[in-house]
Amino acid sequence: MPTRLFASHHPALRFAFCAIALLMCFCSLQPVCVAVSLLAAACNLAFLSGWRKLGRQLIWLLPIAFLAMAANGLFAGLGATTLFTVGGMQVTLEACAFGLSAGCMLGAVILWFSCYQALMDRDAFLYLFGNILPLGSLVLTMVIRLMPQLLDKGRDIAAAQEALLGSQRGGLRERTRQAGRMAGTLMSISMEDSIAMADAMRARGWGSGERSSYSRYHWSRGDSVLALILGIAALICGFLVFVASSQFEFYPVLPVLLPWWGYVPYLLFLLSPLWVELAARVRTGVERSRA
Amino acid sequence: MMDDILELRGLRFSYPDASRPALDGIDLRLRAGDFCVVCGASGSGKSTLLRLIKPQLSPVGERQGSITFRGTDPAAMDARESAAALGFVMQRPQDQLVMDSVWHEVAFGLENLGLDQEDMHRRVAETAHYLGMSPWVTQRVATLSGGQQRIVNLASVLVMRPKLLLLDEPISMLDPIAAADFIALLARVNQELGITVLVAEHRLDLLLPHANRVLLLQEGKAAYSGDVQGFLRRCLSEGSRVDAALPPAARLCSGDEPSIPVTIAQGRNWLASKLVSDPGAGEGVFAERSSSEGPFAESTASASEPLIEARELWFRYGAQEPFVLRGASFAARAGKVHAIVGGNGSGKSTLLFALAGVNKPQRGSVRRVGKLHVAALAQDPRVLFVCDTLRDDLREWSDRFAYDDSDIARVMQRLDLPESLLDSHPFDLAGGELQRAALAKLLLAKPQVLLLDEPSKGLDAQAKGDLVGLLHELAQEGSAVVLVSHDLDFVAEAADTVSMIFDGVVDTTGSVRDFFVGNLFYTCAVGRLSQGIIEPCVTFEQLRERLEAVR
Repeated sequence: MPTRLFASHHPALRFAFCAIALLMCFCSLQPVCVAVSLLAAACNLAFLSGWRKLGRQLIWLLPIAFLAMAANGLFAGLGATTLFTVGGMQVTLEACAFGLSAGCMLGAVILWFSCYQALMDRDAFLYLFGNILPLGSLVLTMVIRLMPQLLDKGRDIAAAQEALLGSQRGGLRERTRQAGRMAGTLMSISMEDSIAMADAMRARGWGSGERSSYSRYHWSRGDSVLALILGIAALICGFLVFVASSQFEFYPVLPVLLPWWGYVPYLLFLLSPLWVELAARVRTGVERSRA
Repeated sequence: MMDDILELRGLRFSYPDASRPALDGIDLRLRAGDFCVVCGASGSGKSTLLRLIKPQLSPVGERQGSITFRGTDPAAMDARESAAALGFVMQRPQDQLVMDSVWHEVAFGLENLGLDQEDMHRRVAETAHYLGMSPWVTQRVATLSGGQQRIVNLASVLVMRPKLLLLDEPISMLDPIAAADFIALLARVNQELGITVLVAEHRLDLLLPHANRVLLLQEGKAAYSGDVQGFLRRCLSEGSRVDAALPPAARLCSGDEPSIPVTIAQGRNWLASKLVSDPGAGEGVFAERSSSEGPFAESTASASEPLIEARELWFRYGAQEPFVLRGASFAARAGKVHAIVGGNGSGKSTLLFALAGVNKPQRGSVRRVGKLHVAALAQDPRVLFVCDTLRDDLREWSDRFAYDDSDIARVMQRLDLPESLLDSHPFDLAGGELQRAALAKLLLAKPQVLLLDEPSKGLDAQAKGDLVGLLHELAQEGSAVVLVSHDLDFVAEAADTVSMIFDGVVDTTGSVRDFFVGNLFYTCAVGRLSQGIIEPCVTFEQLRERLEAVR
């Protein structure tokens, strides 16, 4: 995966951007806003994680959106513009539009979560929330580390049994009993290992007084500049999205939409990861041509 | 004296309800910069001694005598000071990894000490550079190899700037290459930084070249304390239990040798000088002997049909994962001990569990003769125990494999497990006992094929010798034994044939002698020692016989 410049900014900034994009996406069912959000999320994901990743998501998200359209069109029974009638049920344009919007919003939300994953690795998340809940983040880190270990051990236990017993497993009752015993073994092994881990923690001074927290991030001037720009943009977009959504109703009939330029700031804001990269490339290009 | 960093005087320690003290009258004085090896059989008190010095890990029990670390009792020191000044590395690398990523793991101790950002960054950075960890410092600890995890363990105590490093069997869980690398790193820390090292370990061949002090414990008492040559002289003249753990070069000597060889290079010089100084021995004898068949030459072509055979196996753990086995073939015959060797990630264990029927190959097949009982012992023997007492565990499969309590008693006796263990919880058994108990459970099923994953891991020299004897016995009784191991010296002693796996393919299969004599680097210590000087040998006994015959 390529590393993008946006991911070099402070975790708080990355988190805030994802949170605002998600929030705006959640708050508006207005078709154009949904479309803009979906488009931007798709562009960001392709930019951050590659086309393959986007393709794998769209393969199941698009059918769901159409399914939502079909379901709402068939069963909502609202709206004035009848498209056609199926078995006595009127399928209206408005109901279809509502279903499609809802389906696309769901898709956009999921794509934004994928973008979040691409922008915020585990360390960044733990850094952000570790400062709020120091003990909680330590416990979380340990859980993250121990879960795969536990699963591996479980597989080893099952393999040890399977190697000898192979096909000669007993009936359902015997197998259930066996599974219970194996779970018990897993518990005992984990307990024993965790005692050793507690020893190791104490040996390195755990519990000897107030802790500090090692951090790989710091807030730079560039972060302040970007935060200012994104903050202002977010306010403007929030206002525009609010206006667009509040003057919009699906039923009984779809109203006339705002002029197209009203949505441009929203799209530009959501594509920030792209702009950050582009701006940096333009700058290096200019500097190089001057040199 | 100011130079003394650690002084133990008349140290005696008893665990509650123990019949004899775990440590009895230990005296030890370490000067700053010493590299001291604590050795002795399992249960001789090595771990107890190390843990008593580290207050955070001190066991509960009755202690007499004094421990003085830089002028004070460590238990009376400030908790932070003793956490930092006394670095402790435990036996299993995994258990000491607390955090998820390498940089955070190294920083964990500093966070506990409450250091500020600038100090922490500097210390983590310099430690990572010094130990050569920079390329993988952002990785998850779970993705590292055992050797790398061990280096992380060392880094995370070094970063706290200890004055004394205590290491409890640090290399017993590592493959020989990683073990040698780790010891070299430890020697560097000792030599370049002057940090005092106190290490408990069975693998004396790797440690003695770097040590200047040895403490030999026998049943809690100090049987020897002093320099390395004196230690070797004592072991060789008195024939103690640690004899088998000594470097093979030293074992050839008698105690009255002026300078006993410790490294392979010293051993080769010593061997060459012996052969030159003796007029009866020379090139002629060597040439004549090597042209003859030799008492231990074995034919690779075996008449018997394989009991279990893997043909062109291709295996991967998931559709997205790379192939671990890429057309691996292997056959195990009755009456033989087969070893599969190879580096980390070469597919050794994967092949073993494919033979066991646990890993189902995507291409190729595993063919068994008739209805075979195949038993597999995983690296961690604990995974085999599912009941609350050893007795219940051993009885678990009694219906399925038709055996009774008298069979259990017989197997217990054969594996040298006292009956008194039957009522204890399997996890309360000591490491060597637990492994033998796991073997007992498997042997009760009367397997015709026994598959073992790294069976020599964590065993002392004595226990390894016993295991070799047992495997030979089982083979003689008509079982096929397949073992996967990193431990080439163990393989040389235990196996009849060796297969080397590399990049998912079994490249070479041959008799143990052909294999180790043919390899120049990837061979057992005895092979390295004898290569080109005397007719190549594989096991220590062969070398000793050969040397006596020539002289």
